[in-house]
Amino acid sequence: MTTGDAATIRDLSRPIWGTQVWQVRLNVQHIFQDRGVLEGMDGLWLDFREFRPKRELGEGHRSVASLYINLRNCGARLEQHGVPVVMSGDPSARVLGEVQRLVGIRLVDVEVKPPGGETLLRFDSALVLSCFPAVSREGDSWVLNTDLGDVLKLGPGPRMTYISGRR
Amino acid sequence: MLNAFAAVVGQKAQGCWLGYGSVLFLEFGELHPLEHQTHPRGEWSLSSARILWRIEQDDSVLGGSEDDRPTMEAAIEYINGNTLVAGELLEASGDSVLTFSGRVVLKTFVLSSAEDSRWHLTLADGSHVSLGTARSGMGTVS
Repeated sequence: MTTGDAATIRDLSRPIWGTQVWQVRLNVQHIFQDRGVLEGMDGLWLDFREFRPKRELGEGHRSVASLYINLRNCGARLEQHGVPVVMSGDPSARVLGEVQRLVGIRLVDVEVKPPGGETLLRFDSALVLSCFPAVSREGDSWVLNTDLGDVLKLGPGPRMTYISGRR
Repeated sequence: MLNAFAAVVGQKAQGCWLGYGSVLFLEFGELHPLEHQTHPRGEWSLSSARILWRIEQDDSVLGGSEDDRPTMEAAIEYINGNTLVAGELLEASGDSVLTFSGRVVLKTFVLSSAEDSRWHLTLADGSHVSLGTARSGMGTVS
């Protein structure tokens, strides 16, 4: 990933800036073995919406996009005021308790750092969700699907992929 | 920033290897064979458990801890033979950036609040130092 790619991703992510996380989904995988039960998280989804003003038809909230973070390919850490709150390698019970902080929070902006594609999602209340991709060739680290049909991916590996929903 | 890597800055990395899973072992200085050990130990040895890592060179990502094993091992080979030019440990998170000659950069990401989710430095006399985070400071010598 080049500096230009990172700037392009930042621009293409703008539709979700200023929108609100209305729903957080977390996949917890339970693995049953003869020695006991293991558990781990393999995916985190943030669903964004925006408020539609009264003058528009259908006053209320409108779904904008959904961001999927592939926790098998990248690590995630939630920080507040620069202090780690919870990380994707923590026990799932702890993560389940802490990620709820994101519900109802407004996304301020998105930053992507080349060449590896570290991604920072900055929210109100000084909350930052950091994603650290740890793959070089295959697999997606995160996928942003907008309700207009646009698909923006960090992947495969550190490369960016964009598919426009406009035909 | 902590100057946690001061002991190994300026040292040449050689014999670096991949342990179980994605555990990284960085060996610095002269290598010494160890009895009952497959890999010789450097005068200084940095190892990591439960942290994610990625090795970069210029605009390229050479490999990361979630790649397949051959890709990880090939990426580690880029570190071998190069000198550690600078090392930074971010105090709040425990993340680190190790810059080697040859424009090779190793970046790490702490994945867990567990105490073993950080670097461990083994010194020439066999003692260990945990390169800590804000959770536990600079660690203790054992």
